[in-house]
Amino acid sequence: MRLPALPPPLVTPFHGFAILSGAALPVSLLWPEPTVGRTLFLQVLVFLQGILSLQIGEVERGYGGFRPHARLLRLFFFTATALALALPFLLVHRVETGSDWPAFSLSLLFLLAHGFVWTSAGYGLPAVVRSEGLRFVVKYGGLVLANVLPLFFAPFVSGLWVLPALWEGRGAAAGLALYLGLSGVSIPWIWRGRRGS
Amino acid sequence: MIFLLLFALPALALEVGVEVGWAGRAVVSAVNPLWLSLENLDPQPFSGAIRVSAGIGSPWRGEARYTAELPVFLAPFGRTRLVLPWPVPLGMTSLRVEAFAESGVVFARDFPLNLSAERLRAGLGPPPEPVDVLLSPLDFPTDPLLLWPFSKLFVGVPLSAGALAAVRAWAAFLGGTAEISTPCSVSFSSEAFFSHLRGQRPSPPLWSALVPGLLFYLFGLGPVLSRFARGNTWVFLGFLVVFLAFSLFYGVFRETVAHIFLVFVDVECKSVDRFCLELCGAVSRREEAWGLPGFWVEVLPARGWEGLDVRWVYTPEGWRTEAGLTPGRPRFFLRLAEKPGPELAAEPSPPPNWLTQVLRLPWEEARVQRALLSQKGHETEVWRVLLP
Repeated sequence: MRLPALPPPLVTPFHGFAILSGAALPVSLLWPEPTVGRTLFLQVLVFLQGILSLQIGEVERGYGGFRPHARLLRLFFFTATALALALPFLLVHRVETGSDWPAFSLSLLFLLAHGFVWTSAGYGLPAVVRSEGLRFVVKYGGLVLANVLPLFFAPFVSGLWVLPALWEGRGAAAGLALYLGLSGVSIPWIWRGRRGS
Repeated sequence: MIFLLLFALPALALEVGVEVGWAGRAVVSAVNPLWLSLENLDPQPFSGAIRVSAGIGSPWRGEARYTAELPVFLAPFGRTRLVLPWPVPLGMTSLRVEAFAESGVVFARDFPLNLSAERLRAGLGPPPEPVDVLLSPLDFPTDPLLLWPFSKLFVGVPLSAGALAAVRAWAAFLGGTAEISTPCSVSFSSEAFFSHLRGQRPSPPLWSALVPGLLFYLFGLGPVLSRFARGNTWVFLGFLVVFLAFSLFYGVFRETVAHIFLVFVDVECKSVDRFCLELCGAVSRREEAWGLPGFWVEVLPARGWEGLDVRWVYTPEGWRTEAGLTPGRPRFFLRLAEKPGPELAAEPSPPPNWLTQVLRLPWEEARVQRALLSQKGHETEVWRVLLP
């Protein structure tokens, strides 16, 4: 089996993601208020994953000439690889916060879907917004808005709320379903977008 | 008509009367006596259970529910009167009493409470000054918790040994005043205890393994990612598998350590015959259902009462207090238990700062012992304070 190699422009983002999420783990474990500490790591992780996924999508856009199904597999593989980088931290966080295995599995599923949605957004954005400066603003501004704004009126849209809720076993099925649905929708979108570009 | 009677019969099977507080006045922020009068109206024996429940708190403070359950057996047309301790925190305005038999609910009614914000003055025998409640020696409780609603007690008749011990324990530990009380006087600061509990972790992370593991992982990842970018994917996957295995082993090891950390403080006065004050604080690092033998009363924080439900269940061994633990939300219970406390391999120890802030007592006369107990899932620190 031949697995795809990591595009060189993604080496630093991957390493940076691992370092920052790794640093967030002891910070959240040492946080004086345990209720805050429990969710802090997850919120940092979901936000950093959003940034990394956007970068994966954008780098993949201009990397090599692949057929649509191969491109989809590559996008999924790198999203999953990014999640795998944080998996040791998540396993430690699980045992330190006493989360159970079903909640942990649902959280992983959510992170995978969340990552793939933002990877797809990063992949599709250059076709929509041509200007690099404007794309930068739309990309990261959109990520911040999508995570922060819904907290006030529809928290199940925000990964910052959905992941801690799944982790604590407080439901959040709507949030999980939303991101699974969006990642399902993004598959034909990537497919069509590639053909059109 | 016959059908109507048949439907009505189960509802008439048991009649329940409720009275909360001395002279029908329930004192807020105290444990009041709750009298249950039960009468079986049926020619068949009644075997079932009684559940008393009430909401506490407010939307601003947070709301929770107290529930007490006890089994009941009554002979045909039999009647009985039970008394149980019933804490009345702020926001409790009524009680719901339900009786259950095998056929289902046979009685359910809400009873409003007549609340009193001030503790009462009581007299036993002819009092020298006006009092709120006149007690009969026959009604006098031997459980000091039930005297909590009183601020002052005038005793004008001889008391039984049990009643005398109850009065002395109430005066020493619950801030009551009576002429027959002993010089021992102990009070506590709930804020100081909460503050101590908030800083406790059931078991801190294993930093000696976690920090080197984290550093090796992050430093090693740089070159491994570079090789991954040059097409050497298997090196990357192997590296990842090693650290995933490390995390899994770390998890397996940590699963075995305590999830609940308990602090027991046991205060005994030599001059108080039968009872001692027991405080129990609990913190957990995950959601846990937790229980303690005995009837424990929760000392509530100033705010954040939502979810602080307590359930008291009467078992063949006596009362059992059940409560849920949530990470980051310590719970604090107290009771007046019968002496001597549990047998412990305790060692003399100077009182720690937090303990001197929690308990207000003559520390220069106190002897302090400390013991650490470790059971599966629980780590317990016991402090025993002995006073003359």
